[in-house]
Amino acid sequence: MQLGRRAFIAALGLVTPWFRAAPRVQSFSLDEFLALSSRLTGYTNLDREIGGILLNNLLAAPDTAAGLARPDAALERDIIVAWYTGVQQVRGDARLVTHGGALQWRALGMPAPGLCVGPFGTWAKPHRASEP
Amino acid sequence: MQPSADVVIVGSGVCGALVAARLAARGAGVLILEAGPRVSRPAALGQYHAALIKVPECAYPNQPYAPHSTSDRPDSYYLHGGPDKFEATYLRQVGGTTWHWLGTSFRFVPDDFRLRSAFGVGVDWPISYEDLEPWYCEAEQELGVAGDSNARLDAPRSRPYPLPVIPLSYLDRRVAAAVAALGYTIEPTPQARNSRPYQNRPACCGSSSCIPICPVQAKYDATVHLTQAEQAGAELIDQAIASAVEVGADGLVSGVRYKRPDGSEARATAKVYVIAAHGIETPKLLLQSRTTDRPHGVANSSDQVGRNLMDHPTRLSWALTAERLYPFRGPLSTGGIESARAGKWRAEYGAFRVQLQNRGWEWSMGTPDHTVRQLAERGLRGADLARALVDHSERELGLATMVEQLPSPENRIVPDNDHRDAIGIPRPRITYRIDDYCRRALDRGQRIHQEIFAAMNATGIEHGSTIFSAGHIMGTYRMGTDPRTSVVTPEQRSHDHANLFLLGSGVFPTGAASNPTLTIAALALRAVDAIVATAQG
Repeated sequence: MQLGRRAFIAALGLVTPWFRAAPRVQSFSLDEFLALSSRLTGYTNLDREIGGILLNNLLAAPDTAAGLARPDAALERDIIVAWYTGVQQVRGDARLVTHGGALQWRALGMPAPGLCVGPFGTWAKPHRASEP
Repeated sequence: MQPSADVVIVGSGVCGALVAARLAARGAGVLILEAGPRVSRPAALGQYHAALIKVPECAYPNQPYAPHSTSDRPDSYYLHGGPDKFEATYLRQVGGTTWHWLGTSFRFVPDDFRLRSAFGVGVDWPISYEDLEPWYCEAEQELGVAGDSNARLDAPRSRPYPLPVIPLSYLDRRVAAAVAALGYTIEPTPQARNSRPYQNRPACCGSSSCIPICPVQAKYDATVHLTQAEQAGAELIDQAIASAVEVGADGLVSGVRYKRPDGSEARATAKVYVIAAHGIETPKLLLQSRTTDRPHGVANSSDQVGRNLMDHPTRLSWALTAERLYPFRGPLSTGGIESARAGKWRAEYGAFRVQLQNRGWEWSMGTPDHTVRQLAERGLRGADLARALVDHSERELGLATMVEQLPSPENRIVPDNDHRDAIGIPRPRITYRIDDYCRRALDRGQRIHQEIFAAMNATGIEHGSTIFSAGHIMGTYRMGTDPRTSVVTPEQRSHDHANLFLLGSGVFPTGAASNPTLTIAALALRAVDAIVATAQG
């Protein structure tokens, strides 16, 4: 039988109560992750679906999962890069999470490449980016 | 059943498509053999969006039965003989590399056709600019080129561009204002990109993804003419990989053998054969068609097949300008300094173009991703990071100089019989060297980059030393009047086999500094009458 992640952690807690005092791998809710992500990225209304994928990938790696409650600079950087570029490092491999939803395009106030920017000739005029 | 037609065309890129459409409209029976598969635009768009590494080839299939190198893996198909690495790529699929071309549609300048006479280097073309001018007009019509007929492009015109100009980007305009005092003008790039609906295709919507794919087909691609050809009765067989050209006892081509992905073989026959499989596959096919009777391959009595391989070697520079230029919008490039295409220094170094990039530092540094990473590394968070990203991105100026390369017989592609693809066809082995004629032109271009940056009060100026490929494969079956030194006649007929035509930039005796596609198209259209006459004869 394979225990689910939460069940496994709960089982650890039951049989080894002393473990509770030490820093432990704990689950991190999507709302908590979106709050953290908002602080790091400067954007409040973040896409919950993208956030869910990013969080799941982070929770799948024990060291990052443990660090989410108090992220160090490296983990903060990784979360920022994932949101802004849409590419997340997962166990050493780069993984595309989103193309159109990468925050860098929202910051620049234009759609990601491959999506129409607007009517013909808009590029001839100056452009004002939307800042958070 | 073995297919047969009046004309068999190998390759469905811009040449094959244009010629097939014209021949079919004139009532000829046309059969096109294409090594790769058909491509659906929605599927390619989906593949592009999902691609982790967004190289020009990322939107398209790379089939084991019709493999090609990719920009991130130039070794995946090419075998490199050095000393420099040849990194120009192409696609093998219905419509060819026009799927991911930029759309830039310059004419060559008159001196490009007489390099030896005017400057004592390279060779002359067997035709002049004046010979080709009417065909440039037709090619511009067929491809739907948008341009400013009064732009100073050093190529006299008898007809205006069929479509109104694609406007310079805001970035182009700001650079133009800054460099005017230096005597430079920024000319709007002629482009096969719709500035209004044309050929039932919409105007450009500025998706900024011309390479690898236009989402709305505002940019011309060869499927336009393949559709016309098929509607007029031409037959196109995809996943038909030409493996050998056969020659009869009379010296005429008698058939093209081709393989299917499952390894089975077939043979197509016709009165006239057109090979239009671009600058690597065409010479490879001719060379791998050797027999005991023809130990040097087909159409190769000159020993020039596969030689004189050229590209437009390219170097980049990048800097941050004092003012905001708002890149990352619109077609990937809309303007440049074009006067150096007709430079008077060509005895010493190559002609060149200085292209303004509408994509900031994307090509050189991989921005904006790279900027995000750097800012996060520096400890920026939240709104501070977003503002810094915007500030950086909006002031990025990227420049590229693309230079002329002289033909050299040592720059060469040959089939490597010891290294074969999944269906047993030899892979290309390429020997390639970028000489000082190119390097001096690249240096000259970067000096102009420096002048532009200074005029823009730029900081953080970087001049890259890496030499990139422009992806312009040329020269490997050159045209000429002398059968001892050239592969095809001025009408692009093989000197050796009267019913064989070879089309594409492989016929270019020299490569000029202008992007090749419009000249490829003009030459293909010019060949149609001779192909028809041969089929009727």
